[in-house]
Amino acid sequence: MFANGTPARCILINLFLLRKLIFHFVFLFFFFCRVFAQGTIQLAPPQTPSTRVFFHLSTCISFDFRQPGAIIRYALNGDEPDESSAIYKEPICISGSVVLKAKSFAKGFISSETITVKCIKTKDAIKSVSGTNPEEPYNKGGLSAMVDKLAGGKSIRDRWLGFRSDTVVWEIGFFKKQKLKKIHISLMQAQASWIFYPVKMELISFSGKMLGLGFFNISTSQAPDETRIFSFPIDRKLKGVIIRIQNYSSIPDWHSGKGNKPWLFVDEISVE
Amino acid sequence: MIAKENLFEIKNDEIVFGQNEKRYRLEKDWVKADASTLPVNDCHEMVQDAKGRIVLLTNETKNNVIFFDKKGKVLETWGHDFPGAHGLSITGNDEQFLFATDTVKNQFYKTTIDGRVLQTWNYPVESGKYSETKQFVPTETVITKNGEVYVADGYGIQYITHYDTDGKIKNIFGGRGTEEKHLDNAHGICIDYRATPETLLVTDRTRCCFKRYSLAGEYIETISLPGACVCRPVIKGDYLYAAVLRSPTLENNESGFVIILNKQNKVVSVLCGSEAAYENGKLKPFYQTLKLFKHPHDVMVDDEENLYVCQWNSGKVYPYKFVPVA
Repeated sequence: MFANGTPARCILINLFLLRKLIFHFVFLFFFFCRVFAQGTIQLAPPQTPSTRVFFHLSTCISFDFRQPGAIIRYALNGDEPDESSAIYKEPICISGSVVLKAKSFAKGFISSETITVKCIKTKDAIKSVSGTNPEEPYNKGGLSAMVDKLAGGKSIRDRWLGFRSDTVVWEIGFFKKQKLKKIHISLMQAQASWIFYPVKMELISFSGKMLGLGFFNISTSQAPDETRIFSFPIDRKLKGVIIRIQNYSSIPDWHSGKGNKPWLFVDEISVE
Repeated sequence: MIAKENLFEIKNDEIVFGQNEKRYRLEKDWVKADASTLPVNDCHEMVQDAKGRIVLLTNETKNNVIFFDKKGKVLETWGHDFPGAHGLSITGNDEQFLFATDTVKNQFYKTTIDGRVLQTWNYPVESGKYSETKQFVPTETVITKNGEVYVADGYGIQYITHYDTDGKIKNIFGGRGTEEKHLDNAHGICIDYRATPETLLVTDRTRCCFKRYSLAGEYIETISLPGACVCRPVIKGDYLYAAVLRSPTLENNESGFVIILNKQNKVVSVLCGSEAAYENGKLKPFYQTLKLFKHPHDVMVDDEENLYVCQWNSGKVYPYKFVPVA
């Protein structure tokens, strides 16, 4: 059977190839393990001055991510950015309301969480705001800072107004009686800093008619820090509106600051 | 500035952290220990002793002080009495001593290297600045070559108290306030041996900077690091290293990184944070770029230039080790 010796040589060659294959397999296995291990680090999201932008005619949104090897991708239509989304190269200029989402990407890393920038084209309609005043130390600029089209920064000390009374009431006067689509109010939640969303928010006409009513989830455990724009549809002719907000009378029992008065933090009110 | 795609530096299939002359590869799991038998809580600070051992201080009272070799083997542990173990410094040549602060017990201590408490300091009532124990929440000490001690009250009323070699108060400065000489979250202190004459560097963590004082407590300058809420300054060779607990303000959870400055106070490398960038001659704010760290609390550079990073409130992890790459 092995007279010409060929089968025996085949076995030897095959054993040699098998050893080589095993070696390559082991090498590749460890190589991919290392690459996979790198891929467990997530990128942080890109930086942008504010996640809420209020503008009148047009504005440009900039991002920054000073990490060599990483890029920013974005989508203007509210979709989650993915590997095929546009690459950010320069500030994105817009002239209408959009929801802009951006993420950081780099090979070998988990892409970042999405950063969402809500851009609202506002109408230059607000003439005056009066009512409950912000309290020290979060009262820089007074009530007029609430309608200056400038969103608050990342720090609670940066253009945010703080209110501490159980009920907060503001009267917003327009330049003339006019039809408006929506009214937006931008709030912060940072419960570790005793900053809570309110219990209830009402929108009332000057004649006392209830135009909108919003209830917030009852706070039963620590909620994530966030800033968010809450919008009421109006769609009617008005000379102004009253916003009435009911806050928690005291910080809930689950919180280390229980029993104390919480803060309501507002940076901007605008109309569309 | 937006970098081009795929320029992450990879060396021998491993990510390179940092830039310029301070670049490292990560050895995340270098510690060879079992957390069920050797638990840590907040890993607050580290030093290296004369035997080359890495000394870690944690507020886990099952083993407040842990000694590792550079390969991560646990050599020894001691300490059950420091629930607020926070600052750790080492002094001495032939015979070494540890100085530890406790933010829960409002005290700081001098111990032998194997854990015998030699001296305890309570709140510095003789200074005239303090009226009760709870005002004093010491976070760091530094000891001069001749044995004088400075203690930073980083979680208290922000004074730096200077004791002579007999343990008597010699001076007190800093304190809370809005002037340049004042401090807010005076979390760390070190002696800058690079300067002539030697000076003190003190952390002002809330205002993202280090402040330089003479040894007599006169304010000299501020080294501003916007966006970087720095912990203690650590000087090794010509460089200043610091863990950044959070960025860009102390309100932002799990946003830390590590920063390295040269002798001219220029940022030369940032591990897991944004590269240094200047606008009109001023540093642009730093921020986290890689979510490797949660809350880095201290860095230590060993005699082989390896960098160790320990963390507060980060899932009770052991310190991470970074090895320099050429």
